[in-house]
Order: sequence, then structure tokens, then C-alpha cells
Amino acid sequence: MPFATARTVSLQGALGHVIDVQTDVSPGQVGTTLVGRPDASIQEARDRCRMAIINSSLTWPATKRITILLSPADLPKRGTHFDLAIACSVLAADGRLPGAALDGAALIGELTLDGGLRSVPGVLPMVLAAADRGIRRVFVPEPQAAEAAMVPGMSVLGMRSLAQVVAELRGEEVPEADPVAAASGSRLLSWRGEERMEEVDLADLMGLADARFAIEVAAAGGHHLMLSGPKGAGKTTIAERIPTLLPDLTAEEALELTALHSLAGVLDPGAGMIRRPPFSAPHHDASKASLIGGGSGQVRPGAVSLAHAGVLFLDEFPLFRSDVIEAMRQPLESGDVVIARTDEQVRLPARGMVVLACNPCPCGDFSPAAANNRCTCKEVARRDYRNKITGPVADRVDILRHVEPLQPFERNDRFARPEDSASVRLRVTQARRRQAERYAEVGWRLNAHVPGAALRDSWSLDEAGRDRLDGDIYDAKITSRGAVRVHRLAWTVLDLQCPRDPGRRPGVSEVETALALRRGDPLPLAALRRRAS
Amino acid sequence: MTGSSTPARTTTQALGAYGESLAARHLTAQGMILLDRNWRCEAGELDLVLREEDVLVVCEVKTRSSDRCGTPHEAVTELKLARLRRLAVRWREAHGVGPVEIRIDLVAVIRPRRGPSQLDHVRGIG
Repeated sequence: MPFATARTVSLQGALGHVIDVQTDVSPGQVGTTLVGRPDASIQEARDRCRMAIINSSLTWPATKRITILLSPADLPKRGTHFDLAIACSVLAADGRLPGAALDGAALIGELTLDGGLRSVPGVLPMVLAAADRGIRRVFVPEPQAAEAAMVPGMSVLGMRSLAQVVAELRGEEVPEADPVAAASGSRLLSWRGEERMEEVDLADLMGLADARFAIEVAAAGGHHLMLSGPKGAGKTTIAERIPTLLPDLTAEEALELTALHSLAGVLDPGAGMIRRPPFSAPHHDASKASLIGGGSGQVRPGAVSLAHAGVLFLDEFPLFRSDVIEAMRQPLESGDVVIARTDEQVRLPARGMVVLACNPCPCGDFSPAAANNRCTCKEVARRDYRNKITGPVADRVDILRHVEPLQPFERNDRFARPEDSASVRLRVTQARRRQAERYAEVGWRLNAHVPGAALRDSWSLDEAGRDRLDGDIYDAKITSRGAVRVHRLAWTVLDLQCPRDPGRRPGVSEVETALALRRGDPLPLAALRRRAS
Repeated sequence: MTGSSTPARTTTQALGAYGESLAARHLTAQGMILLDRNWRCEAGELDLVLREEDVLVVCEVKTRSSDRCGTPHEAVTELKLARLRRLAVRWREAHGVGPVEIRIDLVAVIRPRRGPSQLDHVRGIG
């Protein structure tokens, strides 16, 4: 039969579709037609495949009419990784490969003219999608075998050339081939202090008790945080240390994050699965596409998604362009990003903590205390600046803290030994475990992910706490979105205390602390003291 | 390309003429009836015109001494096909044949320097 089917995967954001590459080789006007909504790079696959087959000492059916269909035909397809499936499908249709060998296998890889394989971005999400559809065997370029092998239960064949793949499918001895170059370029620069982020620790910082408490709560519950304060107060320093408070990623998170990095083509082939929470700090000149995701052609994840399950830090937040700030609304609220195109809609996870930092005014010196106020900004400039901070985006941030510069007596206080990251991480890990157990049946991981309705119905505050919060809504001191966020914060505050009684619900004292955290008011002394003991 | 009626002048033309004779012999041996050879008009030339049952078959013959510069099959482009279709209609009109089904076939002949020639008959190429 002059007909064969090979399988590969097409990606739409983080959604993978298994694609049947069907080839018919029959007499007729000689030529190769490729149908099923291929993009320009797949159209070029015809030439790559033809030369790769000929230069691998295999036979291209040059006297036949070749029709290649990428099925389902209505789905737009992109990428160069279709090459391997197309080449094998043509060979099988021409009777040079046993068609049955292609059953239950997915083929991923770009071909070179000499028949070698090249690495492609997005192998992990492709293999995940293939596994989902019951495929148990994948052929991938050799450097990406480790990435594909992260998917449990998958038999991965890392190959160097088309000739090797064909030999494997025929059940023959696999020939030698030149090694495949890895996808990512080589690093041209390395500088001293490059690994700085691996050595930071909370113990480096003196004082800042208020901000320390805030980042601990934020880390424990996955809450978004805004740090405001005059320049030099330590906003950036403290934000950079938030990842050190987070426990290692769960297996599920690690797979999601590694898949997102693979999609973006930024995965280091040697590094394997990402185990530590990521920290991403894009510059304030960043475009909307780089932050949220998008780009021309294939949708690439943006910084928000690359910081999934970690920390996205937007320093000098009001200096970001207004359209970029507005675009942050969706990920802040729902924990994912939807990028709509004419013919497709791509949803990417973006469930990291977002940490925003801003000065109180454009010059950074404004202080409400008249004695410290060296601000030179015009009132209009200050107002414009503040307008960017307040508004809908700020309403979606759970915790607002003002970071004040260190006082001289704090700097030199030798008795107040700063706590190190490891001990805070221990408390954060415990608090996260409590949340995971509480939400085990419904699949959320952290308080920040729980929808408002579910909180109200299943995990409400105790009666006094509810009255306290309702009072503030009644007085219009807080919006109902704000109330939901306070409710979540109250749970996190309670989780950090690790109460003995497992049935305890957040009460008045937790709500007070949560309200103060959200509004940027001074924290109740009790909250700070409890932590110090 | 020169038909068998005029003497072949170049090696390429000789090769073409050889291929056409071989093709004609092969097709008639298959039971097709040869109606015309190297029929020309101002629009071009038809290599072989045959009849297979009720179908008028216009056959293009491509002869090569090797497939080093591509197979003979690949030489038939979309443009060439369109011309063959036009010519087939012209032939039918010129011979007063009513509307019949027309099929365009290809015979590819490879005649290496040594060894036997290879012939491939492709039915209905477009």
C-alpha cells in the first residue's frame, strides 16, 4: 500500500496536539504537495527531507507524486520539528520502512541536508502531550533525550541522524553518526558575580522586621506583594531574597516549569529538570510580548510564565509602560495568561508570586515625615506616578509594605541577629504543607490560588473574624475583591503559626494582621512579637 | 525532437527517437492502439497518440541516458501538462473525433550506456 502514517506533536502554547503525518506515494505528476495548514518552515521541510533522505543513502521516490497531509488538517501548524516524521512517513509510504514500526511512536526533530538531526525547542511539552495520547515511544534529537525522559513511562530514543532512526525502525544495527549540536548557543560572556543570586541569604540584611514578615507571609501563601519606599531602602535587596524562602518545587510544578522553559527555548540541555523556584526580574523597558508572552509565529511564554511557581520581580514598577502594566491584570488575578490570535487561543500558566517595587515619587526621596522629605518632584509628577501604582493593578496585589531606610541604631544592633533564609524556609515549607493538605481534594496548592467562592463556602473565617471583615466592607474601607484577598492572607497568617488545633479557623487577630498587610498599615505588634519568639 | 520520418541529427534527438519507438512498442504490446506519432501543429508536438478502449491516450515520452540530472519523470512540469492538455484537444478536433475521455500518460525511458534500458509507464499524470 503506498500509504503510511507517522506521528509527531504540534504545540499551541502549552497545549500539545498529536499530529498524524500521512503520506501517499503514487504515480502521477511528479512533485511533493504538503497540505494541512503548514507554515513556511514546514513547507521548507519538503526540501530538507528530500535532501536528507538522498544524502542518508536512502531512496526518495523521485518518480512519484507525493502527497503529505498533516492531520487534523484544520489546525495551524508551526515549527521545524515535523521533518523527522515527514521523512519517515515518506519512506514508509514508499515501502522502505515497515509501516507498523511507526505505530505508537512519535518522531520529533529537524533534519539537516546531510541527514543529521537538530535540536528543536519545546520537546518536553511535546512528549507530555504524546504521553497523554498513549504514545509510549519517542524519537528525539540526542541532546534532548534527557528532557524527554522526564516524562514518566516514556521510552525515549535519542538519535543523531535520520539513518539511525531508520535503522532503529527497521530493527537493524544502528550506524555511527556525528553528534548533534545542542540547540542553545554557547555562552560568550561570563563575569565575576554572575552566580551572585545563588549566594544571597536573608541573614545578609539587618533590621527590616516589617518587610521580613511580609515576604514570609507572601512566600508561604503565594501572595503578590508591593514594596514601596525611598531609594536605597532595600526593596530590591529584600525581593531578591524571596526565592531563598521557597521550598523546592513539587514534582508537578517542576514539570510545568521545565516545560515552559523548554517552550521558550531557554532550557539548558545539561541542567535537566528545574528544581528550584525561578526568579525573573525583567527590566522596566520590557515589551508586553516579552513580559506576558506572544511574539510572531509560535507563541512564546513571557517572563510571567517563566517565573511560574517562582518569583517575578518588577523593579521600578511605575516606569513600565502603561500597556504592560495593564496587561499584568490577568496573570495577577487568575494565575494564567491567555493570548488570543485570529485562529488560535493559547493559555499559559503564570502562577508565580509577583513582587512589585516602586519609589514614593519619581525622584525617590519623598517622605511623608516633613523632616526627612528631600523630594524635588512637582506635585503633578508625583500624582501621575502614584496613579500608575494605585488603580486596578494595585487592587490585585495582596500585600502592600512601605520599606523605610535602616536607622543607624538598627545597623549596629549586634544583639538582633538577623534570621537566615533556611529557618524562614522551614516555616514557609510547613505552612505550605498545611495548605496542600487542606486543599488536597480540590487541587490548589496555595491560599493565593483558592477562588473566593470556595473560601466562603468551605474555608470561612470564624465568626468574630467574619464580623470584623464585614464591618470594613460595610464602611467601604475595602472592596469585596480586597475582602477575598484579606481572607486568603488571614489563612496564610494562621498557617504560619502552625496551630496545634487542626480545626482552627482564622479569627480577629489574623484578620487584623491581614488587613494591615493589605493596606500597608503598621503591623499589629502581636504579629511581629509572635514571630520573634 | 525529431520523429522517425526524418533522420536523427543529434545524439539527444537520436535518444529521444529511440525512446519513442521503445514506448510505442511497449504500449501496443499492452493492447493499446497507436493512432499517431509525432503529430505537430503550431502549438507543439504530441509524442504518441493512442487509444485504450474508449479513452484517448496522449503519451509523453521522456528519455534520459541516466538520472544524474533528475529523473525523466521530474521533467514533466505543470506547464508541460497544460500544453499537453491543449494539444490533445487540438488533435481531437483536427481528426474529427467527437468528445471522448482523454488521459495523459507518461513513459519514462532510461537508456544507460551499458545494460538494458528501463521503461516506466505512468497512467494518468494530470
